[in-house]
Amino acid sequence: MAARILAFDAHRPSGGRVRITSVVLAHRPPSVPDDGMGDEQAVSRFLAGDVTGFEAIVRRYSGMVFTLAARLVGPLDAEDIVQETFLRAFRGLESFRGESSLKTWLYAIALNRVRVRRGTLARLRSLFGSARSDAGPDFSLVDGLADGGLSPEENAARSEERRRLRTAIRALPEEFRLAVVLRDLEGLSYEEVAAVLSVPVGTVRSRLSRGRALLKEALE
Amino acid sequence: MSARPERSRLSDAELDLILSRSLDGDLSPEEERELTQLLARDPAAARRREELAGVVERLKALPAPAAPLGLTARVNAFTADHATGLRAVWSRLGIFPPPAMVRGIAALFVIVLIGMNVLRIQSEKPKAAEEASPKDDGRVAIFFGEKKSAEPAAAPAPAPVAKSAAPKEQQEPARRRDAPAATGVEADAAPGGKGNTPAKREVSAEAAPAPPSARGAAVMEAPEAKAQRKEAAVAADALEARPEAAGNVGGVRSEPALQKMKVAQAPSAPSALAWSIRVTGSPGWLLKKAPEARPSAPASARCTVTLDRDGRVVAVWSATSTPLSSEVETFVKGLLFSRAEGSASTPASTVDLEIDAR
Repeated sequence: MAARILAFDAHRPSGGRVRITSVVLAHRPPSVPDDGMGDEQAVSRFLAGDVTGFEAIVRRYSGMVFTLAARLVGPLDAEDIVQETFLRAFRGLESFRGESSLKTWLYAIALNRVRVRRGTLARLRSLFGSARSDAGPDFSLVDGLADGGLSPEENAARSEERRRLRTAIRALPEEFRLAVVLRDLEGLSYEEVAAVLSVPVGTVRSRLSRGRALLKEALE
Repeated sequence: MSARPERSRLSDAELDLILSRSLDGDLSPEEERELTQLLARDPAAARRREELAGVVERLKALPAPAAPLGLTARVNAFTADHATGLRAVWSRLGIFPPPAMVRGIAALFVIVLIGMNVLRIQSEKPKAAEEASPKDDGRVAIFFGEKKSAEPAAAPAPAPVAKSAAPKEQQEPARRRDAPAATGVEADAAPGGKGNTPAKREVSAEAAPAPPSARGAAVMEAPEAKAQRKEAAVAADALEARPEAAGNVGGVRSEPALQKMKVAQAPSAPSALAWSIRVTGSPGWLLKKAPEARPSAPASARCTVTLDRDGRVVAVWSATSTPLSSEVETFVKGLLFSRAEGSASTPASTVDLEIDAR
């Protein structure tokens, strides 16, 4: 599990016992669980009918896919995206030819599910004439995390800065936003980003450059 | 695009691209060296690089939402659940209904199915009844039967002696004998009565040889009365020949073609009259009972009556310019109607009648 408890909110009701009301989990950089089974071996096992091969894939990549989905749709909807992504992978793994890595293949599926979900939500919103605009994902729990080494004022300023940064990312056009998220937040290489987005590497470079420049302007 | 940085020839977008690639370590050593020289010459470009580097640094420092506990197990369970069976069909369509919703939809479907069947059966019941009964043109023919003279049409000719000596007392038993028959008609008019009983009884009475007293009474009749009796016998035969008419409950019938039933006048009447009453105005009412006392004179009248809730006549007026005779009016006021099954419940109604007595 690539997470650890960083903080929790607790209060003492009149009864005297401490009651934990919420727990905040912080994410460590996604690491691949080492189960002694490589991607190729896991895929081969799965294609041979061994379900443990697919379970190994889920164990290895579900955290990464969740993080990507959470950055794009928010933590609340991310798990649905993860489940749909791996269900699609389960059905489509036979067609996986290994031209890209399993990770980028899963990321591409997840991005597709995110697009579908956004499209569905947009259609529903237009269908029912919801006057409420899309407020975007809520990262307040993650961004509001207090650092014990900083003063409350500094923590508040940092939280505000993160909120502004997420707002600026969300305001980017999708093509630039995806490039920035995959490269700067997820740490994918240019080639991996190109594989996920199915675009040439040169396009990734220009989109990334443009996205960063737009972010700089937005944050000034 | 060339990565060789010549600030004088580079636009901001080109410079941003080179700076971005530089931040990612994507430049070749030669390109990196040229960029370093450019930045040394151009403080604005150097400042821009610092700003971009700051943005990238802030992006990388942005905390990531952590995966919830048990995510792997849930994903595996979800995949195993939706990869096969009915849910696989739903999920292939991009629909992921929760289990409770699936059960709810299934239950709703079953309820709707049952409800539709119940409604269909209920709507088919009156339709079947309508199909079973002859086509109704909206008019209702109502008749009442009354026991006619006990002497059959085929009775042997009475002796000449009896012809002259027919006392009044001999006619009285015949009248008394006929009275139960008339009462029987009324009893049959009650719902649930045996339908074919009155008709059969009537016909069998005709076929049976008449008692001497009745024969004696018949001797007294005029030739036109004999002809009317014969006509009544024909009508009774016709009634027996039609099972649907014989099965008519209570002597009240509703048939497509307006039908007349002519029944011999009771022997209590001075002359034998064939009566027919047609109800034309309101198919919701059926004639239930007619008074025993009937006008003795032949009459032909059309009138409209107003009925109360119980089917009793509360008002009667002639439908033609000719006023009704007091006998006919009294007779009509004595009629009793019953509400037809399935008819709309109305507090009061009017009924058109055509009365013919010959």
